[in-house]
Amino acid sequence: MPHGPILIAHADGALVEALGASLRDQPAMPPLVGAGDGATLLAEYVRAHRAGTPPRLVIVDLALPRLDGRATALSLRAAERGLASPPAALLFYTVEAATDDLKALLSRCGRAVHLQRPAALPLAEQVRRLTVAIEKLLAQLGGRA
Amino acid sequence: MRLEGTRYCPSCGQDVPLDADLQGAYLLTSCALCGLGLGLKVATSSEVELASRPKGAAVQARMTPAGAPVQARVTPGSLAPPPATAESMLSTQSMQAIQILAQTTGQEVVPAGAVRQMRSVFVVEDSAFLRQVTRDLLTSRSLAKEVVECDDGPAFIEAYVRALAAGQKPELVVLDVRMPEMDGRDVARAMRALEDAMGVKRTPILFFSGVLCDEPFKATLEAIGNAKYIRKTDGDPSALGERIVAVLERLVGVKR
Repeated sequence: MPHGPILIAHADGALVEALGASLRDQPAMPPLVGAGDGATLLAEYVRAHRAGTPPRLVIVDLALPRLDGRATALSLRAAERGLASPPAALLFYTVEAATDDLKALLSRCGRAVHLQRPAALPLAEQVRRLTVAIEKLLAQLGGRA
Repeated sequence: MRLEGTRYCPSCGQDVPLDADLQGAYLLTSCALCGLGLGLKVATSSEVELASRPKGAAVQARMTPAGAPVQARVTPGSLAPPPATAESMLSTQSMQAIQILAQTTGQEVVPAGAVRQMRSVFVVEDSAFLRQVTRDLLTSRSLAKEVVECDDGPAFIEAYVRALAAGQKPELVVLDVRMPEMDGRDVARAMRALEDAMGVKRTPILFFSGVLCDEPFKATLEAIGNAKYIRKTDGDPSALGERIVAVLERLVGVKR
């Protein structure tokens, strides 16, 4: 089954835009599909699954409108089970540190990691580090596209 | 009977006079204008005396501020306050109302042929006791042929997606609001996103909860769309079945 896009729901639109541009420069990198809120990300996941290209990597922020990151992640996992789809890797990219609540959520979701956003750094540096993290994650998942 | 004072009715959008029925030590209040249930209060001794007059006995009619004469309405059966139970995690009022409801379910009669039976209804509720009560209410009145119970939001989303994928969309989802894993409002938002992505019509949602239907909640209902609300603790539990049927009539058209 071909791999689908990388999905991201993040409150910072500038970050999403810059990350999309950065990933486009990487060879054989799946496209990045951005969602402004958790509910839209959930819908994008289902659309990609129904198109036969389920995403392997989903990036979420915790603070999101409509459906926050926690509810989005739990909904995503539930939808995957309902669709009999293998769970995508989940990357929580947040300004928050890894609290006990977040650790419990990672454990509850499975195949999930947390990367604290270094908000004090320039956006370009944040994007560079996030791009490296994504490349590593995709490599661990077994190839890119 | 008509009570002194007024209370805000979310349905009428204004302060309204209250009607009340006696249920044991409690008065189950409702809006005198639209009939929407507005909660429980402990009855005073004079209210018990007034409401407990034997059927047929003269009842002192009072003129309401609006000028309409009203009479006391006494519900048969005197129910003592329920004892403390294992369901103490629920608010006392909610449990009292639900226990009264459980005792009275089955005593009510819906006219034969008045209700269309729904094929499938999902009930999402973290309390096993309340799931059972809701299931009994739906099945005893032949409102639903199949009732699928889910004890939290993620379990429901999984079952719902599976049902949609199999072309077995339910006709109604009864959804609690306060649940430990996922808030019912978030569940509803996720549900709408899934429906949009899967190209199916929005399944009606009946929020059945102890949460007050305040302005933010009304805005949430509006945003979710095709959703109604019944408060667990509102109104006369012996008439809850009728209230649910009335809401379902507006929501899914269960009446023939």
